[in-house]
Amino acid sequence: MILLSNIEKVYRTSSIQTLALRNVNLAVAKGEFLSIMGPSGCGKSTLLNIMGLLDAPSGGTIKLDGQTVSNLPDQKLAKIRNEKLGFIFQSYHLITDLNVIDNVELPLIYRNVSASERKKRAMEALEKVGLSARTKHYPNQLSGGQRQRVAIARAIVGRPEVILADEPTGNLDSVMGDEVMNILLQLNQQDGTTIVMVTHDEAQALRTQRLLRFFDGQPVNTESYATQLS
Amino acid sequence: MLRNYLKMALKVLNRRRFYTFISMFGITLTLAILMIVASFWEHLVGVQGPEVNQERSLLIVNMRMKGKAGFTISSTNSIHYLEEYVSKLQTPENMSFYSIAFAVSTFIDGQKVSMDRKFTDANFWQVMQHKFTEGRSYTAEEVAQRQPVVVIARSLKEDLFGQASAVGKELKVGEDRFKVIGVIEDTPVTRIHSYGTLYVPITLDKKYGIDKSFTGEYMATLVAKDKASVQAMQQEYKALVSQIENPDPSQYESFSTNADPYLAAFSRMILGDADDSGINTLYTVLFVLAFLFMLLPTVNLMNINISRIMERASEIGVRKAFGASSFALIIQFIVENLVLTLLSGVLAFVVAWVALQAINSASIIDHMELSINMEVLWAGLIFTILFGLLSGVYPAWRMSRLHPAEALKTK
Repeated sequence: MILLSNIEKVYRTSSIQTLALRNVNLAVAKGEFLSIMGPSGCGKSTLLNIMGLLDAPSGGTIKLDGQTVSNLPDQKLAKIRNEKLGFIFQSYHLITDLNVIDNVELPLIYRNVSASERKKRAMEALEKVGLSARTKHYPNQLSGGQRQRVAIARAIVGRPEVILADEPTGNLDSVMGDEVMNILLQLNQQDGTTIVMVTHDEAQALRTQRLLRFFDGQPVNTESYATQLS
Repeated sequence: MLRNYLKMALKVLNRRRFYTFISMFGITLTLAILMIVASFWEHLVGVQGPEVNQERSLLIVNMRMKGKAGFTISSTNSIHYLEEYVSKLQTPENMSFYSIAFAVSTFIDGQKVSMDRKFTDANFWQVMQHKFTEGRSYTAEEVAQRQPVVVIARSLKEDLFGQASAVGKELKVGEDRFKVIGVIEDTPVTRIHSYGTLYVPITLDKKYGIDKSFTGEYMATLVAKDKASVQAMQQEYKALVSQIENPDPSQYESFSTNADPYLAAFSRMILGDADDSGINTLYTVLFVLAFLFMLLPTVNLMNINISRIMERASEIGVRKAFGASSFALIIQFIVENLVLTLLSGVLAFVVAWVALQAINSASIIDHMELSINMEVLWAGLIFTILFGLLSGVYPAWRMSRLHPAEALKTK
């Protein structure tokens, strides 16, 4: 599904060069639920951003469904993000000016889906996360757990093949965190959605199919690249 | 998609009311002032009041006499010059000679009543279309026979005779006694060619038939049969002037005079000379002034928009993450800005309308009725759209360039 080969990411300022990712090779299979753990600043979020085409690598190639997507122009990247990927962020990143249903509809707007169809699909997504009663609320009228469920609804409304979640339970208490994690597991197991999740929570990470430990810009698991590919 | 952009724009404006207020205040004020200025301008040089034939008319306003000592005298024309030379023109369908309106006064029951006296020929009443509230204008025969008849403006009639009919009544100005034969609606003082409050036959001017100089207090309006004939009329006048001999070679090297359309006549008075009407300079000056006037709030709005990039960076990151291209974001922000400026434009129309009513009722300029007409409306709309684009494009481009990963890091 996702294949990263020799990925490097260097942040440059006029005086300093920081190597955030060093020669990362990683394969994520279709339908897999992969979690990535590691200390702060080890490069796991950078890796997730590169996988999600939100950031460009300094070197290496990214393949999505066999298609090389690194170095594609903005318009094409936008289309791939829109159709194949869904994102969940630690701080939810809901648009404060929009109510719940408008936030959830967002990916469909960029697909030119009709208003009635958008609404129908947004309601379905909200039902899946148990928030169909709060469609007219604004983000600041919701609890953290509810906001994250809206964010999940937004991520799944376009039925993407891959969901990339950056510390989705990081801002939630354990009960809320479990709720969100259950939804993600359900999406993976019932709908076959591929999920890559960055987390600091070992207990949540251990509930996923595979755990990748990251340190100093590199994976430190014993699994070899060849094993991953197979 | 456009519906979504509009919906989003209205939501953003509604939710960020302080920003909306600050932005709209600046734009509204600027546009309202521009509209008021445009309305004044339109009143000054546009087709207004009795001067209905403006688009097929030429004005002979000033004569320039270049003195041998290096000075130039610029003055209106003498009645002698107009009747002796200008009246010979063949192209005009009609023409009228009339003086500038000069203040005179009379005393009624010990009270001083001021009036602006204008000497005109009989054609004046055909070339200008004053509205008569009672009576009639004087005829060519009455002018030729030096009949002491006058037409007065309604405000003067009310000062002199109250609400009663004025026709047939006697009016004494200095030693002269006139019979009032007509009353017209007031003309704004800004329309120098048609304005007056007391209209007297040209032949009753004491200088009539005596003064043989070229300069005096008179102007002329030449009316062509249609708009297409105006240029031919202008050329005929130019040819005529080239054949007229210098009236006083001992004092003046040369003299020049032009027949100009309204705006060119106005620009020649303030910016031009014998060879150049100054109309291009006038347009340039007006454009630069309007541009500078708009520049400040535009830059201000641009600045507010740019400073909002950081505030909305997270939203930009989210939109990009979920499939918005840079182009889609540029369009979204431009639409937001256009909605803001168009709403401000509507508000500016209301503010300008209220301000114009206040100016009219305050009688800052006598009998001036300013209004927002269609041309001002269109100019305002163009100003508004230009404003929206100018202040929106650059910030929108900057916003769209934000890298999604970087934008998402912003809280």
